[in-house]
Amino acid sequence: MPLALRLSFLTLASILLFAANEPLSASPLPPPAGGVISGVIEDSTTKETLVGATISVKGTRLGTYTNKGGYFSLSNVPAGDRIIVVSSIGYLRKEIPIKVVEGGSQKLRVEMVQASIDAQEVAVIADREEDKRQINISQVNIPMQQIQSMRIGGESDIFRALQMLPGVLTSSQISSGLYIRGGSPDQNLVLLDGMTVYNPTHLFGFISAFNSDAVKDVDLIKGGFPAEFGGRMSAVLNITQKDGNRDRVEGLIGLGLISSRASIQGPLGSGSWFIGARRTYLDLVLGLIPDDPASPFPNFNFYDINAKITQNLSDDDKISLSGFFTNDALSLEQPGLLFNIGIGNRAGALRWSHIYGDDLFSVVTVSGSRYQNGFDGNNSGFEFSIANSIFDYSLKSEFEWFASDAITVKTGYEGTLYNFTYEQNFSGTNEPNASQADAVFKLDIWDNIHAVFGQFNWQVTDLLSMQAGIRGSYWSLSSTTTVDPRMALRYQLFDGVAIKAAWGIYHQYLRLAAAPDFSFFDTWLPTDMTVPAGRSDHYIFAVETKPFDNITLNVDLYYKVLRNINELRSGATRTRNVDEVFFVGNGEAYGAEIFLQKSSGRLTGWIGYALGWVNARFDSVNRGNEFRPKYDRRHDFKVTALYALSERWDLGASFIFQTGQSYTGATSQLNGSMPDWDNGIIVTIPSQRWGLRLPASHQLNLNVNYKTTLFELPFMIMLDVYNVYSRRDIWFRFYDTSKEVPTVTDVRLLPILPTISFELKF
Amino acid sequence: MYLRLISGIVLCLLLLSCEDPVPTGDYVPEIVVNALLFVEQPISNITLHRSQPILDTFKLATASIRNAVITIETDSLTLPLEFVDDTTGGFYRAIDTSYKVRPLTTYRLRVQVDGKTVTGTTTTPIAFSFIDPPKDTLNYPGKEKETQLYDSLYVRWTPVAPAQEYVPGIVNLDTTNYGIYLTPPTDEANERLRDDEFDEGTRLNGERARYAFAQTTSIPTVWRVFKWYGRNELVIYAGEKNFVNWFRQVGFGSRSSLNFNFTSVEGGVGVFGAASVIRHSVFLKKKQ
Repeated sequence: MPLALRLSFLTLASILLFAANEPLSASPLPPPAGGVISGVIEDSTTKETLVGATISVKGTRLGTYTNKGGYFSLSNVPAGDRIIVVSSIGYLRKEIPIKVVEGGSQKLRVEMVQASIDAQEVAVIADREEDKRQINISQVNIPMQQIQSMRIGGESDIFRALQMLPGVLTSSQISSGLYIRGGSPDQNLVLLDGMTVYNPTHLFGFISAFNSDAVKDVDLIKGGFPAEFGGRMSAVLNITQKDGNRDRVEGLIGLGLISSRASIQGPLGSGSWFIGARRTYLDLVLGLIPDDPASPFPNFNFYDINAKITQNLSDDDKISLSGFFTNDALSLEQPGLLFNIGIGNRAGALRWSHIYGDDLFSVVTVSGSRYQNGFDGNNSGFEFSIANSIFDYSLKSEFEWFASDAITVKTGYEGTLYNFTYEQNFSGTNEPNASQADAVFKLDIWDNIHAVFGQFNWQVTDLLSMQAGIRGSYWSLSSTTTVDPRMALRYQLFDGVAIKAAWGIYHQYLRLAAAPDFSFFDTWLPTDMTVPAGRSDHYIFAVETKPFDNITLNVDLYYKVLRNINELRSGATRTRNVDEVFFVGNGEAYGAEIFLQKSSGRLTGWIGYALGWVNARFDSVNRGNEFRPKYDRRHDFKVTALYALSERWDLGASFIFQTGQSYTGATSQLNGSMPDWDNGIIVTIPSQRWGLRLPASHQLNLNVNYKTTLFELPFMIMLDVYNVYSRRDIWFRFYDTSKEVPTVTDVRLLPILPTISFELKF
Repeated sequence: MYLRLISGIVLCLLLLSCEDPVPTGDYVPEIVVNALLFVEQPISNITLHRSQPILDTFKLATASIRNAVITIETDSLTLPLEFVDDTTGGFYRAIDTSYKVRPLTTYRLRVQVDGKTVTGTTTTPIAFSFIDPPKDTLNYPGKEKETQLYDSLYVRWTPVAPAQEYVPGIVNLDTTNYGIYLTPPTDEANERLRDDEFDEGTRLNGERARYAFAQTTSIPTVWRVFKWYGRNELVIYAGEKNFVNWFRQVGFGSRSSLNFNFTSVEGGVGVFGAASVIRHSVFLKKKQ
């Protein structure tokens, strides 16, 4: 029996054993007594529920966090007069006196008041009684205020903010793909209100498709994620959209260099609504510029829309309907050549949250997500087209049981019906005849995946907590069953110092055919019978400290084994199976990350440093020799800071310094020829794949916000300076062999780019 | 304390993250084979050269290997090759110049040079022919009408199993003269369809042949494939895998770095491939 399978069974047996012995094992803790306090924490103004707020009982060690629905439950609260302390970053700490009755239960709805800058320093102090059941290894939560202050060209961008975290790399400065601890972007599970987003970028990968105005919470788990998440090998990006203001109608209009945006939200029935949209004006600007008919400008535009309706059907029932739409379109029409490219996401989710009694919380999500791209054109009368799409219809049902103040159990089912389509027509005509039929290829695969998971968080003793889980999945197309055990431990060494460890197996079914630098013809494919499923094993050790008030310092060490990963078969023009699209190989990633974060107060931000290695080996790549992928960077140092100078002025800065990007050198040049050619062309013979380094990459960006009023409405002027000292990093280096003497040519990235943008709230 | 410690560590590590200099002296010569067999044609135009230092001006005459011992054999016979020198570096051909490559036959290449051996294997496809050849004369409609489809421009040929991808191309046969082929003849010079297609001095600019890729046995004649007006030849190659892969490597002229998966010889790099080929002459008249 393989080692992994043995470990799986061992873990499953351990979980069952723990579950069976739970009352006995919990004996070191106080016997169950007292009452139960549960409820919802929300913003006093907008009535938006708050994720990750801390709730503790003063004078005890009891404490917990609110979940993604803003819900919490504390059991075994000692009877008597108690004070409940609630705090959340950016809000005034609140103390609520309550009377707890033995065996009784109380539900609270706590409204938190936003803190002024001066008050923020004290607002979140003394959250010592945190929920030790939550292990949260390698998990980072960036406050939205900070994400919104990290802008390029006036655009705040969630992915750009995430790229400032240590261990999160990119293939280049202008790519928004997230390479996390050696994993490629397709190995990240990107969730928006529970729906999977398959291509979260605009401008062919330059900026993310998430409008930060519409987002309430961003959680990134860089590894060791629990069993409730599956289907990806590397990381989880879990984004929650705003519910909308339940109190009054408000809106926002923003004008930036790349796009303009608007959002509006307000109360509706027993809930709220929110709609936000962005659109670029590149096409409108280009339309005003007279162009040369022989060499016209391409026409380009993108837009995205986020929408959400939330209704509280009762104190215990909440439903929300979320939608997410994006579209990028590029067209070019010039003599002899015309083409159109369309890329877009359509996703929607209906989510029902229900509270059963005091300690059981459930969420049922029905979602649909479609990503499609298409390319069609006409080259001198030769018509061609390529189109592909992935449709995902999912049902996810999960139950969270706050069994005691020491144990939380989460279990659920996730089923997805997939439809992959691919259509390629290189026949030269849209209506091919019989002799041209072979140039038309259509793929239409229906597949379904079913997964069940169970996990529990158990505070074994006052110092030791553990999280164990298991996820079983069945993939119908390849008739594969996988079992992924996962485990994490947390031990409180001293006050403010905890050590954590995690291990887990992660399988991935989907594969993405994409270029590393551009999101152009991204094609999602299933794992069919011709290739094995991808798999990674995560080993993580972390030390988490709080050296000062409001400051956390985490050190993570990780080792990741990567099996059956992809490398696109370059130049393949006629593919019928997945193994004809990809080379399949193995790899490993390991490294260390240091992350110092200050989340509240006048000065917020972080300093991050990562030291990492990524290696890969494919039989048919680099002549079978090991190589490091392009995005491997040995050192990765990042600093971000946001300083609230006054109620009117905010200053922000971000700095990045990384080992240079990898590129492939050459050992010599050859002459390649075709019949009837007189001279032939020069082709370089590559050396070690990605074996050389470009110069180190570094950049400083500055932001200044000035808050004032316009027509008595809140108005903000935002000045951004991108690449302050105009360091033009090399995007890529290549050997130009088109002329008689080959030359080494560097293509450089953007110079300094100052921009001004505006934001009006009403 | 923490900040100082982190700053110190980070500073030390940053000093280590230096770039690699652009390598110009890492010359590793490889034996490069360019050997294509064409069904029902003699074995000829096989070239052999050493790859050259990366930033030198490439001269085939300098790089050419003239002293190799090359044989091509089938199950029933062995064909030795001889070197024929010329000003461009020369080429190898079968000593038996009357021998013509047979369809559906497996050929094995063996090259011995400087104590090294380079080998390759290819199996020739069947011969094929046009069903609908192109018209002898085509009238260029002008740039503004290039994307319009003209039924009369379709060409069709017999399928060549198991080939699934064909390489059609247009070869110009006279880049200088145009009017002398008209009736009545004139002294009008030939010219390119587009002046701005390639930069001056680039290698592809001077090539008279341009190729495309087809996954079907019926295609329209695409105006943009023509580089010059006047006397042209439509050529269709039905290649086996090695031929098609080599076309992927060099045929478009844009893949400047070698993909080792596209070479088909052991002990060196390059191609030993085979194809059947059909040709038909076409005269492209300028827009009237």
